[in-house]
Amino acid sequence: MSADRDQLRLRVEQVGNLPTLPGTVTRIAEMVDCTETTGRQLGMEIARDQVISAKVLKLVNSGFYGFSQPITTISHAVTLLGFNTVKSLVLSSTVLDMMKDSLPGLWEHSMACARTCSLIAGHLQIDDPEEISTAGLLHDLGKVVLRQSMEREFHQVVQWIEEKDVLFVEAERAIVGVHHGELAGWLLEKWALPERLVQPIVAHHDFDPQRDHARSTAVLHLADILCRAEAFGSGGDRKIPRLLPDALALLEMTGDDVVDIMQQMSEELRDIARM
Amino acid sequence: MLQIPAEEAQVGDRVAAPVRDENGRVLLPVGARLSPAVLSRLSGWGVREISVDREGGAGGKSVEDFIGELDHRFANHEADALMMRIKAAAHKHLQQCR
Repeated sequence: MSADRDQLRLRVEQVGNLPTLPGTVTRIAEMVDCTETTGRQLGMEIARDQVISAKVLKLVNSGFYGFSQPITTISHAVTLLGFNTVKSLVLSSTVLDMMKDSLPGLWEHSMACARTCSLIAGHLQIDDPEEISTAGLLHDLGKVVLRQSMEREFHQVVQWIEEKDVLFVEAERAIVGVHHGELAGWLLEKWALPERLVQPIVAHHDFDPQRDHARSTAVLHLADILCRAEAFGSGGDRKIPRLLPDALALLEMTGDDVVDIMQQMSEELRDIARM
Repeated sequence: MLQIPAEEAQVGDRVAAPVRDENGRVLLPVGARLSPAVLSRLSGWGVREISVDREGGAGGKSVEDFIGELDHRFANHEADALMMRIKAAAHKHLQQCR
């Protein structure tokens, strides 16, 4: 890492208004990863935080999960959804609030990307689709970091996009020197989230089949581009990055498969605004 | 139906799922049209998200507006067969929104 990048990272980490993850969320993430945790213990820990409990119940009863009967208790949610889904829900309920206050359309784009990751994971029969879905939800968190921690540069980036009509990531490279994937990576490492979740987010604009977690990164790269193609929400620019053939090759997917996924998106993401 | 943050709701949107308070009491029924007065109260009621039906899509854009933006978005990728295939699929889905 160059001295400039070191200084930038330090600046991001030292700024007081960097988004913080509540202690409850961190504890819940640790409990889910511990094989000895019971559903009752997990439910009790979540229920101790009334704000997070309320957010989780609201999210689980929204159209996102599509249950026909209302879920009224955290323990019911844990039983029905399983540990990893509940962990994603707790994290999502916290992070989505940060998204709503940053760029117009970022909340919708992030929700769409999470669900598209799930569709692709289902197509590929990936064992842990929840983790990739969470990566989809968090993949543009670096834009929130930029907005909250580096306001002057954020406005320069927005102006650069307006004037040059380039991708958000290109404007960030020109103005800041790093992009939102890397910024999110610094924050997520500070939150002590696992490498298998962080790495795809860091590299979703720099896919390299040789890097760790390349398969998850390829899923996220594809999902991001398909959401931009379908205009679900907004990534903050008017362009679309190129889908890298290496990513599709690694997933052993064809153009027909991509069109099939897009058809599923158009049917299943009707509740998300095109922007 | 669109599920959106309450602050993105617009005058004229029609409520697509009941808006309830913490006790389950219905504040706005399905079909209610959002007025400026109701919009200004959503935050005070603690409503963070709302499901609405909106004529003309988000931001009042027409399908033609969306297709014009789609053309612009893919303008740098015309030599890339896969990207053009993705664009064609997105174009078809936008046409179905009519």
